[in-house]
Amino acid sequence: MEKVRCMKELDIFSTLDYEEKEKIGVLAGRKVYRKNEFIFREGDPADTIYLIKYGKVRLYKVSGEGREITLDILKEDDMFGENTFFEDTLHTMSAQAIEDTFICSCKREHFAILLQNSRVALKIIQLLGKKLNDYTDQVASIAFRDVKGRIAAAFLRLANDYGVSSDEGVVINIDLTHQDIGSLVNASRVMVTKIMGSLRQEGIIAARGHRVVLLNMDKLSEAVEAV
Amino acid sequence: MGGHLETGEKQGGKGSQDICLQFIQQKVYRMGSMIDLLYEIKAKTPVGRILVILFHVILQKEISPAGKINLCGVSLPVLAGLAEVTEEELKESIDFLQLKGIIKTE
Repeated sequence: MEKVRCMKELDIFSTLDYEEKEKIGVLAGRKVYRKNEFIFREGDPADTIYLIKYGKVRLYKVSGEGREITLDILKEDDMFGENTFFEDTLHTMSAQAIEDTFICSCKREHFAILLQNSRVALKIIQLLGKKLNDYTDQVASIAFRDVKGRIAAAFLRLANDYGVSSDEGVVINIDLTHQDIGSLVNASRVMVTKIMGSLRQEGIIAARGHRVVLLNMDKLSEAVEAV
Repeated sequence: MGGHLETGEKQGGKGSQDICLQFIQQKVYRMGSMIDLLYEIKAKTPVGRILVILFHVILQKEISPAGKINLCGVSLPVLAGLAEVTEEELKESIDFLQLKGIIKTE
């Protein structure tokens, strides 16, 4: 029954009825990955689709100079390991838990069974479409915006995914060091510290430990569009 | 249950399932290409540097009704200079972008 609980509460299966959700349970694996534990590494065979029940996962590649290039930070209900949809392929990036993370997994052959349900297939297509748009936005952001604009755009995107309303404003409910933000927006830690100081002085954001509070969304949007 | 998810009327035929899988594979391929570009730009590889320059050049150009942008007139040595890559790196990068189906040279 634990397996059923793992899969059936995921958003991707929300349109299924109880009986269908129970059937999905037998197809799923589950595991809690501890902070910094790898789910897979670049070059590993891709034969499993992963869905996050709770926690956070960082996807990254290592550059020729040995630098870790963060490509995405995933959260609850996100799917990854999509190369599995192709046969005999390898993972082209590494996936590492950045906090204790509960992950449901499904082998390729089992996922093919899930795809027989048109509503699940549609959910997956919608999920992939959203991810494609997000990555396209990130490419455009890095190509066309300065560091301040990129940080502002990243905060708006993170607020959309992780934002929680508070009396102060919108709290980005994920621990982010300046190094993490730098990895996301392709800027140095020093530059991120400088820009965040400037955003704080302008009353646009506030820092609460490793969490960022967005105090003025309008001004943040202006910073995105400024370039 | 035996590992089978039977969903009655919601199941499509084998043909529609294949089409669905092909559609998903197409989306995953596009997403993979975009992630590759994101990586190249973030890692500031020659491909990434050339892409950033091309994006800015593209902004100055008009998009044809077919959704294509003609970059005729863009000098390759100038492009290499702007992106601060060697002509060899430029050639390799253009080959890579062609392989990904992002640009086409004639």
